[in-house]
Order: sequence, then structure tokens, then C-alpha cells
Amino acid sequence: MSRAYDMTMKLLLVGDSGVGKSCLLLRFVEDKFTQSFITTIGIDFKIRTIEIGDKKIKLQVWDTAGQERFRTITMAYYRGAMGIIIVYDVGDENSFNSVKKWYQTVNQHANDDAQLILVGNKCDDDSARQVSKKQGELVAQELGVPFLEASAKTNENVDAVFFQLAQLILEKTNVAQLAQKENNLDVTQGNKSSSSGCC
Amino acid sequence: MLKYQQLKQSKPQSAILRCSSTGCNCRILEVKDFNSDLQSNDFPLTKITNAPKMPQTIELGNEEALSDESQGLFYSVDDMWSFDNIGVSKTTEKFEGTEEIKTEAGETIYFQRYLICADCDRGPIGFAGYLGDAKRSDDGSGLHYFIHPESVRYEIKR
Repeated sequence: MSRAYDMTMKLLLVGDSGVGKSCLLLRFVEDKFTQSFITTIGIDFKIRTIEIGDKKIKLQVWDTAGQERFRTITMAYYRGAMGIIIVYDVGDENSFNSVKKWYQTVNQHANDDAQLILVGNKCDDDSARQVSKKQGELVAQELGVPFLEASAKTNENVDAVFFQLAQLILEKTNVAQLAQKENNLDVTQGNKSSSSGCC
Repeated sequence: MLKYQQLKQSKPQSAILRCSSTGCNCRILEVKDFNSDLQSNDFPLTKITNAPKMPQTIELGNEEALSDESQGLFYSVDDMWSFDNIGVSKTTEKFEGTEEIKTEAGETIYFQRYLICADCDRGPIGFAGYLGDAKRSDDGSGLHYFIHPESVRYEIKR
């Protein structure tokens, strides 16, 4: 069977408990089955297929919900992650204050070249907003990561989070492949490169 | 969108498996090589002994009993990347059977996870487990996936 996709990416959702990480993985459909017994077991990951340009990309998105307290368990999640979504709830200032802590944890444990994105989620009530969009933008700027506000409730920007992150990873990969190609050329010319680079 | 029983009558060569929830329609998997018996080389329909029970997902609160005929039948998917969209539960020992789950060929399946719709979380639509002494891994790659034919709907491309 020929492969029906161009690339796979492992992505990770992190953030304080209750910020709606799982909601970002749940499309809003009228017939939502939240009573499903599966929700008590919990969801580990989802595979989602998106198309960027002519590229078919399969995302494996890991939800770390429930693992927040168990730092040591969470470490395994970071292995091989190409993209990490740091989520806070715009209605919960504490979760916003944790963003820098999550950023540090991610930097400590994720691959150096993992792409990050900051997401302010308003999974629930917008009238309860405690963190302005401007505040989110400023922190993102400070950390040097892209930023989006999303609402799982209205589906606003939910797809955009995954698209933008995948797009950035794709660009990075293209650059890396180009560099790899040049390296290979060097090898054929006898200039053996000793840089390890990324595999 | 066809139910499995209708699919059997229409004998298509390919079909897109979709979520059966009203308004969801999430694309799960495409089977491109059905033969006249609705068998596929890519995702063979396999009889599983003592498989976890799957509700026939028609409407909320109206989960009909499975037809005897298809009880225990599953599409066998050996690579998670074959799926367009799928939700995978955490590892759980929680299922009703106590007997050993076996494939048609008599190989033991070690039950690990339930499968659900990636969009609406409806399920289970199948399960995943380790086949025999397959390599255990924590990223889902070593698992074998099984989708129940009556837990999904079929879109046939004309």
C-alpha cells in the first residue's frame, strides 16, 4: 500500500489543569457525547489529517490532561514532539501566570527544535475574561512564540492553532532538509561535515 | 451514507468510513480495495473471538444490539497512520470480557485501548491492542487497531 500522506508530526498540548486542552481536540458538534464512558478513561492522543498546500499531513496530538501534576510521567510525552501548544484559559489568571513555568518545562524537556505556540483558550464563558488579548500577545512576544486566542465552544481558531503550528514545523523541516542536502553535497565533494545536525 | 448492512448489498470497490453521529461525519478511514465479499487486503475484516462489545452507534440512547452476524467482526488496521482521524483512549484494563481475545488465526490480542471518533468523542467504535509478542511502545505505534464495521457509516464515491 502506498503511503497516502506526506508527513507525520507529533504535537503536544500542555498547560494547567482545567484550561480546556481536551476541548481543543473536540470539535463542537450538536450531538456531543460527553457522557461517553470513554471520557472517564480519558483520551491519550488523536490522529488528525490536515492539508497544507498540496501536502497531506497527519498530526498525532497528545493531550496531557490529568498528567499535569505528575512531572515525571509527563517527560515521556515530550520525546519526539515536534510541536508544543501551551494553553491557558483567558478566564483564569492563574493559568496565565503559569505560562512562563510551562515554557521553562517545555524548554527543559522538549527537543531544541520543537516549535511552540501559545494559545489563550476561552472554552467556557467569555464574560469571565480575566486575561486580555493584549496581555497574551505581550507574553508571547517576550517568549518569542506565536500566539492565538481560540474558542473550542465556537470553533473559533481551533483549526487555526493546528494549521499554524503544522505550517511552522513544515517550514522548519524544509529548511532543515535543504541544509541536509547541502551537507550531502559537501560529502560527495569530500568535505565531510562533522556537524551532527538533526535527524 | 450507508450502514454496514446496506454496504453489503451495494458491493462497492471503495468506501470512506465516517462517524455515525448526527452532524459529525468525521472521516475515519478510507478503504480502497473491497472485493465482492467486502474483503480488503489493506484492512482485512477479521473475526475476533471474545472481542469487547461495541455499541451499534446509531442514535444517542438508541444503541441497538449488534446483529449476530457482524458481532466479533473488525477491520484490522496495523498502522495508526492509516487513519485520517481517530481518537485513542488511555490504556485501560477496563472492558467486560474476561476471556482471552484471539484473532481468527488464534493469535492472542492484549487489549489496551478503546477507539473513538476524533471529532465528537463518540464511541467506542473499536479497540486497540498488542498482537502476540509485538513490541510494546508508549506512542501508539506498536498497537494493532480494530474498527467495528457497524459502528461507522460508509460514504461511497460514485
